[in-house]
Amino acid sequence: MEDRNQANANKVEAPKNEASNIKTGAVGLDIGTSRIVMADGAAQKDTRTQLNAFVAVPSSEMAENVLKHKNMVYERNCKNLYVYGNDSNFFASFLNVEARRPMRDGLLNAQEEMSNHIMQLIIQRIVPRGRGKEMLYFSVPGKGEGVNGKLVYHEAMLRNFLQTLGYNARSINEGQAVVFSELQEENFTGIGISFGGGMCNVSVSFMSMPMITFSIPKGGDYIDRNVTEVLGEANSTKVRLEKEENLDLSRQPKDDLSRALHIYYEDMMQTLIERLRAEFRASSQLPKIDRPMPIVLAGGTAKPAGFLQKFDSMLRSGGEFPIEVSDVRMAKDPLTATANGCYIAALSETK
Amino acid sequence: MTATKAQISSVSQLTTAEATLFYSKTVERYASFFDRPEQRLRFLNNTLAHQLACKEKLDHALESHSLIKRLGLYERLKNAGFYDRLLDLWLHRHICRELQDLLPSASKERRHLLQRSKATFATQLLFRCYEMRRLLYGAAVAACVVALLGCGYTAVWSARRVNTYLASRRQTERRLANPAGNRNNAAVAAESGVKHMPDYRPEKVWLVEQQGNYERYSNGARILTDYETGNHTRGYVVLPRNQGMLVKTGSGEQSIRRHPVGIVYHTSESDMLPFTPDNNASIEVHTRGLLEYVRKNKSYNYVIDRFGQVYRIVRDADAAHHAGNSVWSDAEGVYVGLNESFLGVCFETNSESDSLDEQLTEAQLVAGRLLTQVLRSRHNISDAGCVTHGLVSVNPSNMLICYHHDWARNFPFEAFGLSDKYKVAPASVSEFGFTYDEEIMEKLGGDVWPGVKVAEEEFHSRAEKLNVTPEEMRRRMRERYREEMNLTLRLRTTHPAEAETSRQTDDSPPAPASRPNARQT
Repeated sequence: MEDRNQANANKVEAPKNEASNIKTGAVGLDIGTSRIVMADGAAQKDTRTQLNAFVAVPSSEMAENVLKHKNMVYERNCKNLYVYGNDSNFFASFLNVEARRPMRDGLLNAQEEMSNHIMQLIIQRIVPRGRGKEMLYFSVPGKGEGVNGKLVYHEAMLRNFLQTLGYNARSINEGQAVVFSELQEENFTGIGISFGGGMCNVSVSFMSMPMITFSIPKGGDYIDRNVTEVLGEANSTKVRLEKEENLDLSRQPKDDLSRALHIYYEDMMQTLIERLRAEFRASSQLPKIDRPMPIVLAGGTAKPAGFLQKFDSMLRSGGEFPIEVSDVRMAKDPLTATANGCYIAALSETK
Repeated sequence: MTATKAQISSVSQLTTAEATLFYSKTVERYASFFDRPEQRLRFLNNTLAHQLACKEKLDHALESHSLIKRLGLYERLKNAGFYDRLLDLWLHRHICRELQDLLPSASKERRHLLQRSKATFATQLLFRCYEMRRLLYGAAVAACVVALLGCGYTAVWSARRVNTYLASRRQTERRLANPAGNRNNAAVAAESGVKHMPDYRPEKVWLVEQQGNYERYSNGARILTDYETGNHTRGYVVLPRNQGMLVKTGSGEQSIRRHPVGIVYHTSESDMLPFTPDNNASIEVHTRGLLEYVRKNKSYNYVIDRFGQVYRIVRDADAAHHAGNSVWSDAEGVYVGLNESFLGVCFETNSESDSLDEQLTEAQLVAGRLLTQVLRSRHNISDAGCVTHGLVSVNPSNMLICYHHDWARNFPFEAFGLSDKYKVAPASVSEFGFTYDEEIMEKLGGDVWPGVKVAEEEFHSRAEKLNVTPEEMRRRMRERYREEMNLTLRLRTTHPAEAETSRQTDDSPPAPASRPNARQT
């Protein structure tokens, strides 16, 4: 299918490729529905992010010239040109189309023919080749409704690909990665929640061991999709912009859009909290913990103002929680917390 | 991560909820040594993996033994808490090993890290101990060796003490079983046919050989002269009796005598080691110490050690400071301050704490008898002049007899070919009115020796004759005693300073060791 004439493409891409030639040392990789974040150092400057999206346009010399002129990264096959990663956002706006996602609800998108290939291209943009023994931890969602069977495929595909890049690749629950990133002082005991684009992942950790892990199929995309539908919008661009730039969950909604966003945010939080309660009640193997546990929130969906206060108030207003919660806090950098946690996990196993 | 599903499910089942809590608390204390998250994570994961492996190994070991299973020990161990304690022990050991591996190897960096970590003092101390474990092992081994040696030494020492006690007890039992021979080793000599004959004069004993450091006599006596020394020349007067009363002597030159008229037997009251072959060297060291002390203080004329060797210390012609305040008499008269008139012979021995039964070795007994023969022959000493310190010692301050207790009873007179002086009325009581109290009677075994009773009667009858009360008579005689003692001191041929020194040291303890039975002047 694809035209493997990468030489041309690579020539164009070379100046913009963020990955250096050979990587030595541990790597953490957060493979999210909307973004892929790579961390190879403890500081924020050591992270690289690419949108996990692409835009396909029919292959033509004119279109290709435009891409070359703009120094954009693209892939070409006999039918289409594929612009992916961070450039896809600009190209989608330029063409006034919706960017497509290689992943949906936290897993590889089976409905997208090119999902696997595009994702590999995006990953290759930020993850350099390893020497075969470098440790790499990548995030995977927890088990949840409609996830279980696909999760095995998703995890195996990514692991195989990352191994071909020259890494000793292992997976880690996304929520657990948040715990590793943010709960060092608590000796990795607490609850890590990642509010992603496709889903929310939760891990209850005791001394670095995940005791309860699960996911709910509600995330940023769920909010965008439903708000777009209920408001009769043509696409989700307006909704996404409102969400990312103006939404403040600590204030009363001022219009239909913000009201709808409030409703779906609350629905997502409520679903997660209820599920968390249920999981605690169902679990019989929780160790005895003599102190309250902290909850740490991360992920792009947790970015809007007032998210933390909203979650905290909903957690405490729903009656007595099965465990004592010390505090609810936001990750230092919600967008890179998962990747950073993966990096710490990888580093801990690097000799 | 490294945790498997089995590990994840097991972490909450480290036997009990309490065990899990203990585990987490212990590990968390040490986790604070690590600032970097990946190090802390590695430490936690490794520790948990190790702990679960240990638990599995322990379970397997306990379950695979049929005997343990049959006796139900597995459940009992768990219920009693030993199982958890064992796991805790392993946990601590593993944690310390992990810390050793994961902390920086540079000592400065490591010290810095330990100092700024938030770990408790106890945790830091425990880890420091682990770091110095080889040193501590060495110290523990050394302590064990010292303890073992101490135990061994104590056992040997106790065995010797028991041996000595048993030997002493056997001797006591033998004496009780054979009252006729109740004179320690004197019984042996007595049974060999040596009996006291009142008019017996020893055969003439003469010097056979005189070498550099010894003299050998015709009766077999051998006197070592290594420690021989001099002192002031003897000088004393005899207080003659006229019609049973003491005659005042004055200080006329013509009455001064300079040769010994008797022998006073002493005990050294020094520390005694058990008389066993393995103590030979130690016994000799003690003896040398005693001899040095006696020579330095000029305490006796002769010392007989435990092996029966006779040492001359102060020459016969010179006085030794052995008797101090003392009184005795013979057919010629009464002697006051016997340092000047009597020879002092000391046996290296000691009274036992609760009794005055002095212990003489067989060798001392034989040597003492031979020395007595030599001295009696050389100085023409009568039987009446051979007496013990306990019999002659007095305390003028309270007018009591028996100020020193050595040989206050049980001296083997008969074995020495001498008459029993315990039956003789002591001149201290009969002439000067010295008396005794309950304490003295108690120390003498309940009563004073028989001669004292006779002497008391004599003193009372003398007071009656003079028509004064015994108390008044005693007061007068006390003054008389003091005058005679002063006269004796003045008669010393040395200059006054030496005389004064001699007077002060007369009643000082003769041996370096303590003298439990002696009362200080």
